[in-house]
Amino acid sequence: MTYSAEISRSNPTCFVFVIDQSGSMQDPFGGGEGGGSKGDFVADVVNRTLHDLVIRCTKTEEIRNYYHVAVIGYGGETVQPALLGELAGRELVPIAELADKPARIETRNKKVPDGAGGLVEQQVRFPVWLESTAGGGTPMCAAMGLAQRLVEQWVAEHRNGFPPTILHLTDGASSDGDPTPIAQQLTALKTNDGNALLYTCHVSSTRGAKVEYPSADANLPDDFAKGLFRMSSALPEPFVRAASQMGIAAGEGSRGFVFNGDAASVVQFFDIGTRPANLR
Amino acid sequence: MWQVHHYLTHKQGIAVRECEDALASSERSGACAVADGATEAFGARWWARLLVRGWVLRPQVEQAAFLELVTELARRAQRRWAARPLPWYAEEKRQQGSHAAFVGVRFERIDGNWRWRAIALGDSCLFHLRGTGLLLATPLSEPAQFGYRPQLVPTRPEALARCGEYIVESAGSAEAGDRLLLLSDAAACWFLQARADHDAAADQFLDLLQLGCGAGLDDLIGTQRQSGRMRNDDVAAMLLSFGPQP
Repeated sequence: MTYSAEISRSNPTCFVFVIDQSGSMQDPFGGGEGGGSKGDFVADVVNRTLHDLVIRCTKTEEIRNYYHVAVIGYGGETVQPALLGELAGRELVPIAELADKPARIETRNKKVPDGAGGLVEQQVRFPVWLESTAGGGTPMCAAMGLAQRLVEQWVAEHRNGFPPTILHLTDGASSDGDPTPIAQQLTALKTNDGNALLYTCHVSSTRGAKVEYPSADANLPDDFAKGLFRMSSALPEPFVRAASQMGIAAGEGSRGFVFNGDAASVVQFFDIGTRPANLR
Repeated sequence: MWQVHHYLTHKQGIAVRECEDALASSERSGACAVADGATEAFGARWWARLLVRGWVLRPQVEQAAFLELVTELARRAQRRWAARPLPWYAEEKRQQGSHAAFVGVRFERIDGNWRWRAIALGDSCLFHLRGTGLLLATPLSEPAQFGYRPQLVPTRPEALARCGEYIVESAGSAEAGDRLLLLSDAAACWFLQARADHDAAADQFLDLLQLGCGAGLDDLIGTQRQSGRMRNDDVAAMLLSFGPQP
């Protein structure tokens, strides 16, 4: 059975975040939600997701290296590892090292349950590994190429691992060619537990009907959307279960794909994509 | 009069010191307990051990008294954890508190008969066995009931205040030759399924436990895990056997 490998320190899994940092990420979401720019919002959500991955691996005072994580940013002419601070320039990083080396830790206010049915504002520490940046075109092929190189290296070293998950967020069409062949090479990489998984979240600056986790491309508006759909992997059972728990109508055959997503879609996308089960 | 045998092993692939199941018994108070610290919780191993050790010294089997005892133990845990500075991730985890499944049984001789009372919260289970029959399984009695996120014994006061409705109390009488078995979740689920399948491994497990044969239990559990019949998880087991009247 595929996608059932137990995730442990001796058999970790891998997450690769591929984040569009092209100029249009400076624009707000179509509905104006999310506060500032799409880029600011996405950076916040990625930081929150990394935080949650760290917390999931925390055992009292120790972090267990269940995950290896890379964050790739692409925009303008550049495609590069996007972690900041001491981790700048690093590609795949064990989660324990990520935990110990955020670029900085901010203090933010968060509403938490007060135990009596209400909410109370509490100060929380918010580690930052990734900053919002936006400029230039959308070199998606080059970004997929870097992800492919990292995943190829990782699967060679972890033959029995839960397959790598690549979480790709973009707001526009590729400016350096058709990324489909490279994406196909990427998802052809595999461990003994299954093929690498590429999930795609497309967000938009214009208000349009969003399509989430479809199983067919019939309702997608154009060839661009259909291309992103075809690049994206079908959700294996643990991810379908995670989506269902969030009230999302995903089932067998649903692709890890969101088109015209809004701020809420981004939050859900990273949540679903980082929830493979079987942590030991 | 009565004898207790116990067995504790860690899940495959982790160190012995990382085992988050715990067990304890007290001859003086006539009590046995098993707890299973939640894998994702802060200080789960320590909380599970504190729970069983604290409970067998003061084996409270009624909800209100049980919660009072647990509140006291939870305060002790919070004080210990708050005593030193922690990195940001450990501090956040500490604030979420710890959780453990718990089952404890207290027994006494009344008018020549053995009476037992038990209290449980979560998916660690008690089984009352007579001969080859299973008289009672509590708080869960079907393999299908395992696997969901059960309500556990928490350390956070606000969570403790909400867990009363999930506490399960039970009681019974034991005859000479009866046995009470306490198991943490993976073994409890497996035991129920093995019995339902008329798999001889369930009786072998009891025999090995009663003989105190740790190596035999290691082999049996290894085989069951490898075949996929038992989930790879820590195992805590206690078998309490009642003998004839002296």
